[in-house]
Amino acid sequence: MKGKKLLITVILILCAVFVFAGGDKDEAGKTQEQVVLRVGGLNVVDGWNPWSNNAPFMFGTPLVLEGFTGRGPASDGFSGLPRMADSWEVSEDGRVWTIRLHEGITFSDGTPVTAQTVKEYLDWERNEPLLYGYYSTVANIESVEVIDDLTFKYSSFEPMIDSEIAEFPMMFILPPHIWSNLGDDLYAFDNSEMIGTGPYVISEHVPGSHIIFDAREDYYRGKPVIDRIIYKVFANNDALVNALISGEIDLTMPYLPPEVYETLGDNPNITFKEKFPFNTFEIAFNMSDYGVGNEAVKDPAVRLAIDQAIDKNQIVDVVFLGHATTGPTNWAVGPYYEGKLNPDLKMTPFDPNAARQTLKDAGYVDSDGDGIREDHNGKSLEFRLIYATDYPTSQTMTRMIADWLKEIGIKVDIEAVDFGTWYYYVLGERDFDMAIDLRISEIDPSQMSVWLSSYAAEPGGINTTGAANPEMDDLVYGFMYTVDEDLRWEMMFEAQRLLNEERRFILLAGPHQIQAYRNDRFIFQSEVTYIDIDLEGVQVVK
Amino acid sequence: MIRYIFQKVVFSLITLFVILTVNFFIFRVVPGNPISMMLSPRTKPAIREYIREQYGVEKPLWLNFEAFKEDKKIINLFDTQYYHYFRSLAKGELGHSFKQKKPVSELIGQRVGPTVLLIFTGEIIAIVFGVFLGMLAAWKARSKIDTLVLITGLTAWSMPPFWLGLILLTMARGLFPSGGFITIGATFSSTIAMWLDIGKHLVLPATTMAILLFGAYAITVRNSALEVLAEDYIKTAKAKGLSQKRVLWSHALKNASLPLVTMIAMDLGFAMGGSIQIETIFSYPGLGRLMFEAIMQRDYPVLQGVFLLLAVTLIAANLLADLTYIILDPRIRE
Repeated sequence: MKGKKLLITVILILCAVFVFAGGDKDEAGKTQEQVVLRVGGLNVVDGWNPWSNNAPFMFGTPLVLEGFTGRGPASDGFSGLPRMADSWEVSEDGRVWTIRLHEGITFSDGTPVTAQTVKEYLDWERNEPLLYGYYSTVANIESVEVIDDLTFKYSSFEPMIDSEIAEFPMMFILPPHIWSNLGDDLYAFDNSEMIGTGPYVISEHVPGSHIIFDAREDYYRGKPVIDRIIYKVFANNDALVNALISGEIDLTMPYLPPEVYETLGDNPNITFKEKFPFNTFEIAFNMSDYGVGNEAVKDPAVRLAIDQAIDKNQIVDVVFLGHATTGPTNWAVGPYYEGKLNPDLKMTPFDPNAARQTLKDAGYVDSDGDGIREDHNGKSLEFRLIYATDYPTSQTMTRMIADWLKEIGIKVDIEAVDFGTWYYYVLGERDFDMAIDLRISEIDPSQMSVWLSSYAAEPGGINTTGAANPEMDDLVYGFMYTVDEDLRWEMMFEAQRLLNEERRFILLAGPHQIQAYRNDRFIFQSEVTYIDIDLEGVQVVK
Repeated sequence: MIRYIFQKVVFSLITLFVILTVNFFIFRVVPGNPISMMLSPRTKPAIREYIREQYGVEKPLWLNFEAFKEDKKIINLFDTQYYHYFRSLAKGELGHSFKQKKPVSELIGQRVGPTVLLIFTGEIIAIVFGVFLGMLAAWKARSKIDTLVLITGLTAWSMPPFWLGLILLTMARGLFPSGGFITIGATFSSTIAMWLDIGKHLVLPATTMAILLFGAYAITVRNSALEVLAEDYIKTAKAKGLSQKRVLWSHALKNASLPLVTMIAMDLGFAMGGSIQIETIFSYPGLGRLMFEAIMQRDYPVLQGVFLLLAVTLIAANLLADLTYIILDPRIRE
């Protein structure tokens, strides 16, 4: 009996020590003057290779590497903000860009940055075969010329007038002693020191756990307001939300599910930011000539019927609890793209009867009475719909789609796989009929070129549907390389119309980016940008 | 006895070789391409091919007949991924992570500590409670205590780890950290303060693991002890007037714990598997998470490294269990 009491006492003491003591620590390593922002997110930071890891795009470019420009607010057309470049201008013919750098830029290791440094880097990057075409802007450069210590200009093969918005924010430079020693190991380069010109340096990175960014005292635009940013990896949304409520983190990355409004809605210390859809979910049809699958999906009538049979608004309401946007095409989705969407495009109305009629008119009838329609050769309209379980909302969407299509005589076999397998079947083998695809919804010609054009349509290419249409290529590259604004938007609207008419994709919904932060610690002023940790105008409360 | 030990060691080595071979092939059978997953969508197809060659994932898996046909050299037949894998292992190299660009040994080294601490703590708590309650239930067989232990044990045994973890996470909000191994970026005034912080982060994951494991231990010990307590030597001990405590803990426990030893050895595999879920719920940066991330990214070298460690651990644990039998069961010594 004595032993039991002793055991219980020891356990209670241990619990009390852990709960109330928790270690005599200096919270997050901050001193009294330091401002520490603790950010929680689900993204695993895979590594810092600038060309083959995600982290440099997530955090690296805005915080550490830094681009020539920053991306401005959407309400201002994402116009470029000065970063490394203080000012820039493009010639009337769109072929010559003159860029003036900010004075006093240095890499975090102290190496000064001049126009000559930039020229040497761009010359290396555009001539490096392993990076060919990585940035459309760089691939397009014909020559770079230094004008003075801070000014350089480059001329391009084709005119490009969107670089300040489309690619400059992501175009960083590396110090000469790094890039000149890379050789063929470009993609194996771990870049753990991550030397850049940005306002922060990486002080600590424990893969799978966290990253600590510390502000540079010698940053040429002045030391940032926030001295230290800690990014902590959470493995699930429940833990992330829990951490926000208990004050372990100050800010979440913008991928919270809409259910958080119920969990966090009444908490006066938490403020939400809901942003336009960064990505859109759509059905991609296998249009590839190399593909394996049911050829019926290549019939425009079948794709039209499927479009008519799916209630996109219900997907928005049920799957995303209303926190999503849908539209006629995945370009220019959401209020921030007002004026950039072809006004003649209309969403296909939800009409199962019209869908049945469309199929009937195209010769698809249920001749054997099993509830599934057959084509002229007796082959059933039975499609495989593949989705990646990495995006859990796809599960509900696919079930809803299967039910709607069953109503019009199309059988859907749902295949749930992890993203690696999805990538293998959809992009690698082109072995699918329909796939739930998730794509960036921005109007960025360089993005359009990688997922809509013919060059990316072969197996292994990033064009999900594998559809190759020279007319679309001309419009995409026309938009990219045309100077005349009216003509550019004419081509853009035509491309949107063509995409809408082809129905190689059917847009389902673009979930809003939901982000939450502790307003008793910080107030974030930023409107919307593509940068997840946006520190423009941040106010420190405590 | 030496022959027994020799047999067990040889069998363990053969098992290890088979596991390593299966380990090599199983990941490559899963659809997915590590290089495609690694490169940006902006990378041109020709460059993708080049990188694939550079990383050796284009080589045949088993035997390279094409290279052999070219110049008829036998050595070319073994210019394969499997041969290079074993050659590296023989040199003690686990390779470099495709995704994180770091040596696999370094990545495993960073993660193995938290997982060992988690499993060790969870196991110890589960063993202590499992053995104590199992023996108590056996001693008080068919009493209310026995029924309570059985119900609690079965409930704990059948609980889904994810569900249990989420319940604990929500219940303990604000008391214990929602995730992680240590307060990030903190500087501690002393080593004790640091360990207290680590302990605070460990409470919820270790409790989850302990609850999941304890049920099976309690029931196994109870059932085994019931058989042992019916043995003649226990009756003799009681007849000799030994105290209840001495009969139970000094005489019955030793024999009743034989199946428990096997179970604990077997459970190391479960604990590691279970740790994937537990580490996921509590965002605990251990081997389970590393394995999960590597599977998602098709990072073969990391997967192979982690599974090698798992295989060696499991085989060593089983070997240890076999050797423990020698101590616990005199018949084997003979």
